[in-house]
Amino acid sequence: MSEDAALWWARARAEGPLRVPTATRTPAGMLRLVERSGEWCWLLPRPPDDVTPSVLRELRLRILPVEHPNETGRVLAAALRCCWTDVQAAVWPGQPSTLREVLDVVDQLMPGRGPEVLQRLGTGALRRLHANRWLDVDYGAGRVCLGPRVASWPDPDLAALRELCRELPLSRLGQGHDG
Amino acid sequence: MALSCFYSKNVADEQLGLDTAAAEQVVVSVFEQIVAVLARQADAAITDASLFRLADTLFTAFARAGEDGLTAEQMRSACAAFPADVIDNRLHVLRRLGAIQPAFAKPFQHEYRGSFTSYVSMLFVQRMLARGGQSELHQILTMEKITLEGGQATEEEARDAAVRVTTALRLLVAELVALTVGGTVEALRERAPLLWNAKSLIDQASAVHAKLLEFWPGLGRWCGELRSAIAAYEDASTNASARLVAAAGASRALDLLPPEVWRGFARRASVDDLAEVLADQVFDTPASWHDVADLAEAVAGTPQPTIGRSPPPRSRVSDDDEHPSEEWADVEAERLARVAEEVLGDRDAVAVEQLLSGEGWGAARRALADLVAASNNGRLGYRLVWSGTVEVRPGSVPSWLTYGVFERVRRTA
Repeated sequence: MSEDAALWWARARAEGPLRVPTATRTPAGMLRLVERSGEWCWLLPRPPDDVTPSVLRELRLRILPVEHPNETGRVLAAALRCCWTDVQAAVWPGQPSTLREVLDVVDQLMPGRGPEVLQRLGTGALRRLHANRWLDVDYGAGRVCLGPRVASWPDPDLAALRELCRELPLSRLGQGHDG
Repeated sequence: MALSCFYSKNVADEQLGLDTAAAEQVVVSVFEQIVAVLARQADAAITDASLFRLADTLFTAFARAGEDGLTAEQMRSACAAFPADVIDNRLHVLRRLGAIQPAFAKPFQHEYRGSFTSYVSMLFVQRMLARGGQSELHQILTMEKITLEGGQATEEEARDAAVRVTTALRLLVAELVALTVGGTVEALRERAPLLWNAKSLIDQASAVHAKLLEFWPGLGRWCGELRSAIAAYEDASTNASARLVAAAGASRALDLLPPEVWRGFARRASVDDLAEVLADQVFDTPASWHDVADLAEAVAGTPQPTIGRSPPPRSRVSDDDEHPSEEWADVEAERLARVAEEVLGDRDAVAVEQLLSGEGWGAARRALADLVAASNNGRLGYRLVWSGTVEVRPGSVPSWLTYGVFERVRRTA
């Protein structure tokens, strides 16, 4: 690995996925994810052999715990349902969706929680997912996009993800995309 | 202000003076230890390092003068940098002890010459001063080994060499043991140079010992004493190192700064200084991982409401539009709406810092809690929008401020 690539890897370890101008050359071993606008792209470290942090669990090492893992997982699944409209294509970049649509799918997943509860847990989960770059949430515009980290799911897992998306209900707001 | 500057300058000068004096004291004490075996009275050694420099200047002048020597006046002018009475005193002592001798063995001699032996002894003293007795011991061991290997030494000389080395090692051991057992860690750390090269010193002494045994098997008794002295030195240096290591903690840095200095550094250092310590370290960003299996499990494991507790049928249209405000049963939402209206007045948005300034932190916190609750309540049409910057304002309330706007949500439907 060249010194340049090593520096990029160090930066990615310290900062998470890196957002750089598209003109930047892709360092060795990193995944290049171009944003829809085409001006910026994300650099994501890609470990060999499709290894993901879930390997840590197999090795009986501590994995960084997620707060409220079930609720956060449901919100991420709901966002996938709304944004990953063409399940035959790659997950990234997906289509933009809205906060209301995502929360509506979450509401159908967990019926009977009441709007306040839904709002509270939804906001918490969206903030966590945004902070870890699983989602890109724009609260001002009420817009939700997939974050670069969704591209770190290895290909063999995508079949299970497609199956999961098929099972999930669509948003009832009607203005969603038909997928 | 001016007074304090003056004061601190004075203190600094005094500090400097004390430091210099302490350094001089160390030099003089080494002089005293070196000449102790030759001195007749306890106060016979010089008490001022500058006197040593005077002698150095004097011998340089003699060397330049060559075979003609110097007269008393020429000697005084060569040392003109020193006070006259000091020069007179030194010349008297040096002449009495023979370091300065008449150039020719004639009466009424005015020319003097410097003694070669005295100057060489001065060189020796300087070397002892610079490198310490331990280094001298190294040199002696090397010379003994060469002499013994040359095969010219007699058994008598070999025995003397063994006794000399044994004695030197035993004295070294005694000093180390006293420091290790009775001395403070600081004293031990100051004398840590005694421990440096302990391994090579032991190796050299062992080599001398091997040569002695090889050439003079009859010296078995002396060699046994030398062996025990070497072993004692090995033990003493190991123990002393162990104590230093224990005091130094996990860092194993024997001659580094004491912990107080580190604590002081941590308190007084600038942000840049502290950041530099970690400049070449990389820390992983905490990144959560959502495995696909976990997602599927979370979705599949959704708690299904039991039949008896299912909610009443609801309209498919969102609450905000279809259900007017009379459905608001809870008092809290009404209170929050009142608070929010009071804050907003007839405006559509108001800056948060404007609401919080001028109140104590207790009141400000309550107001902020209400605004956040109103913003999070999905039935109320208010929200808090924060900007990314944080301003630190020491002394004012709140001292950490993020700019934000509390505003009405415009119904888009």
